Amino acid sequence: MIEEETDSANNANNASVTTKWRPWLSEHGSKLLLFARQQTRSTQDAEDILQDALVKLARKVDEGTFEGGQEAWLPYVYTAIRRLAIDYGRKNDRRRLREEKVEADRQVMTGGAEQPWFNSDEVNEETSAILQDGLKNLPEKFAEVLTMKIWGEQTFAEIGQSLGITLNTAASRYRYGLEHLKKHLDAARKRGDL
Amino acid sequence: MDDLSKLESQLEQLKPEEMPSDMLARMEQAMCRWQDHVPAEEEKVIAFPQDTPTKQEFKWGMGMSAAAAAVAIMGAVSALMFTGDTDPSASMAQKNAALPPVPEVASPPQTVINGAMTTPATTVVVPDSVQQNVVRASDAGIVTEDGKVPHRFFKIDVLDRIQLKDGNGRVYDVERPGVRYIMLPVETE
Repeated sequence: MIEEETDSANNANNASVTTKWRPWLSEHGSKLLLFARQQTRSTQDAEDILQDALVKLARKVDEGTFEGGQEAWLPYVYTAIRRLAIDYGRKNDRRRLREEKVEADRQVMTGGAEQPWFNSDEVNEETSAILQDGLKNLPEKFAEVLTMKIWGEQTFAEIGQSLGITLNTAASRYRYGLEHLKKHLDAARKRGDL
Repeated sequence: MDDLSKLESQLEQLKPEEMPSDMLARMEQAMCRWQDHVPAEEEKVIAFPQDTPTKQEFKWGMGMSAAAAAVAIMGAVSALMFTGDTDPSASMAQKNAALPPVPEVASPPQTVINGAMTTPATTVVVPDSVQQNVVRASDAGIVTEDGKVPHRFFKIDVLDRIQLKDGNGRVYDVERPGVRYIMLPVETE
């Protein structure tokens, strides 16, 4: 079986590809990418983990082993991203250290500018950068709940299921996370950064 | 509205950065071709069936060493079939550089591309990568000859995936199913 990659073949492929996953990816891709970025230390790791998580979903759906309807895809991918991030974090290998160095070098070359996580017309760039910085410096267990609740539009029950914690623990971590962020903002205001 | 609620509203006004269109396309492509992206640790390990009903223990001796050598030779022969050389340490690029180009096909056969029969233009291609995957392993039974050590035959169905590249960088994927047989001596004493 020979597959020749021509423009017409690619267009045919793209046409068939867009009918299945694109609508869902277009709607949820950005929030999943945000979560992957929050869970990892480099842009490349975030993309790799996100792709692996989406591949897992696609495989289960195509094999008919996915339990639940399309409404369950998002919580599944959140869980998959988190588990993959934990596995990535455990690997103390050269690849991971190299990716972190690449990210650090990229920041030096861009004058310390980090890859923006947010893009908003309602919030000015300064505030957005400070909030992003605050989110990055939050304890992970608070940051992940905040990310899933506010931008992932997950309920505390869904968050609890994805993270393996109770609904009440999810709600507590959400509140503590907001308090931490508020302190970070207040400190920025005192310094005159905001 | 308390301070935390105000902060919550402020956070909700932030919109996650949109996934770039090229990344969206890559993710979509990966989801449609998930078979090509299964992590190595998730690939199925097909175990050889256990002996039943009598449990037999294999002892690592001359027989097993010979079987292991036979499997290694089989793997080397498979590699030779694709690369035509005997230097496994050479990189694929080095091997490709040493290979003569595949002669042009005068009358290329019709091939199936995305379900449609088509006749591609003549193309000179060189191998770019080779991957062999075990699809299935099954016990084909025991063969015994008088006075000789009985051997258990295992049938291994494999699928070779070969990527060919032409001078323009266009990539052709070739899949070729195959069957391998492995013989292992059966311990009888």
